[in-house]
Formats: sequence, C-alpha cells, structure tokens
Amino acid sequence: MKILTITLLTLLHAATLNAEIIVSDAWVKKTLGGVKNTVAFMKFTNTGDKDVDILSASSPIASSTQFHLMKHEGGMMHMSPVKLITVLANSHVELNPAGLHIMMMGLKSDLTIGQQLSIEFKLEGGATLKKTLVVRAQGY
Amino acid sequence: MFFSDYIFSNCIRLSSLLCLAFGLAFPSMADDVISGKFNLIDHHGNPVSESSYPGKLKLVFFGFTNCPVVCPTTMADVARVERLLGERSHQLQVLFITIDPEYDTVSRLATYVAAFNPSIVGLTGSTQQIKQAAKGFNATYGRTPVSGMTGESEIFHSTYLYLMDSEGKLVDLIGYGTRPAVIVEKISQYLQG
Repeated sequence: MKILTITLLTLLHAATLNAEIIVSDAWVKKTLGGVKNTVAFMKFTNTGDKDVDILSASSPIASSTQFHLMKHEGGMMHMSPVKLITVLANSHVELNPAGLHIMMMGLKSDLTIGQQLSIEFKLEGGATLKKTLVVRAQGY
Repeated sequence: MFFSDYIFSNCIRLSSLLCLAFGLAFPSMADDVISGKFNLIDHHGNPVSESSYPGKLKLVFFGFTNCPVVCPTTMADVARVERLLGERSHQLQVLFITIDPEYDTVSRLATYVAAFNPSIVGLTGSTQQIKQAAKGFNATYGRTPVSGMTGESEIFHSTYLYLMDSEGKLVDLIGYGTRPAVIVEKISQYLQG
C-alpha cells in the first residue's frame, strides 16, 4: 500500500510538472552537405509557480542530444554544452540560433523539410515531456 | 581528438580591426600580421596555396562542417553573394578552411561545400598546416574544457570573412551576420566590370 501511495504521488508529481512546461515553436534544421548533426529550437514556457529544470533530451534519430550555448562576440564564436535548462516559474526560455539550442548529433539519416521527428525531455522529479519537431530550412 | 590539441591562436590586432571598421588605410604592419599564406589540400585532393587562384579576389573563412549555426549561415551567405555577383563571381574565389582537419576529410569537405555552391573550395590539411594557415590570417580557434562537465569542451573560432585582393593583401574583414548585399558592395570595389 505504501509503495502504491509513493508511486501514485510520483506519477502525480510528474503529471503536475508536465502540465507546467509548455513547448512551442519547435523546429529542427534540415541537414545538408552530408553533415550528421543538426540543431533544434523551441520555446519552453513554465506556467507553474515553481522553477523547473529540464535535465536532458533524446531522440531516436540521434545518437546523442545535448543542450548547447552559442555566444558570438568580438568576431569569435564560442559554443559549449550546458548541463540543464532551468525555466523559471511563470517565465520562459527561448532556444534560438543566437543562444541556447539543442544539438542533435550522430543522425541516423538526413533530415528533409517537412519531416517530423520526436524528441523527449527529462524533467526534474522524473517527469518526461514528448514533443514533435518539424524540419525546416535553415531560415537564419 | 577534435581540433588541435591545444588552444591555438592570436587575436587580430585591434589596430587592424579599427582601420577596417573605419575605412582607414592599414598600417604597414598589417601586411605582416595577416599574410594570407597557406599550404593546404583542396576538396579535390590537390595541394594548393595562396598563389593557386591568380588574378582572383579571395573570400576566406575558417570553420568546420559540424558547426551547427555560424558556419552554415556564413556559407549560405557567401553562396548568396556569389549569386548576386552573377558573372562577376568568376573574379572571386571563396575558400572554406576547416579547423577540424581530423574529421573534415577531403571527401567530407567536397560534399559540404557543394551543398552551398560548387564553386566554393574546401581546404584541409594536417593539423600543423591548419595551424600555419590560421597564423597567416591571425585567425583563432581551439577548445577548452568545460568546468564541471567531464570530457566536454567549449569550442571557439574566428568568424570573420577575410577579403583578400588579387595581390593577396587583406582589404576587408567582414563580420559574421553581414548581409549578403553589403558583402557584395564591399567586394564590388575590387571587381572589374
């Protein structure tokens, strides 16, 4: 009974977290030139009153998926992985080509415009969040 | 290993940048700072140098094929520049020099540049050759460990387009994000016709 209660509470917590994060404007860049990686962009909106950490992302089409931060200043590009993305309560985080983005590496096939692929996020507390990405042209 | 095994680089001298930014004449030392010299392998497997494109302007960029944003954006922009130049584009040679020669083989570069414009030439070489080429342009690239993330690195590289005249002298440094139409204006000053 105790285990069942804990399980139910965990599921309830996960469901609550899911409800707090909304993913919108999600897209992924088409591949070209034989390159086996790409980048995905979207907006995470936290409608809840607690900060939420997005711990990781994964997609069946990529062997590895990481959160990256790109900075460009003084004629120099810097790009580095980041551990997680924190979406503050009642706030949002935009992933875009000039900053945070999702790096999808080791693609198992080329991505063409209009194609759809799935991505899953792991949130703090064990919740998961699935989203469909649409492949677009570079567009920037 | 990705890139060279240590941080390689120098910053472009501020004086040169300021001169370019304000359209002033270069100080004589700029010729020494940015020689534009290189000895590399093109995407057909042929050895090439700064003398391999006689009579042409050169638009040179340092990047790598796995670069997710800055490099493909810049290559798409220069491909657009070539289309805007039309027939005059034959007076220009765009060169993409990889800073990741271990991954960017001749065949990978061939596929990559062709996706943007078949006239773009991809250049690779040994790690030492790439270092020397970067030195010739005072370009910067490398990687540094990311604090708190074992095995992960920050990657960095210069994002300028180096416009070299037909004599091989640097005449403009074009910053990342410059609109293709503006790049065309800059290049047109040195084109015939």
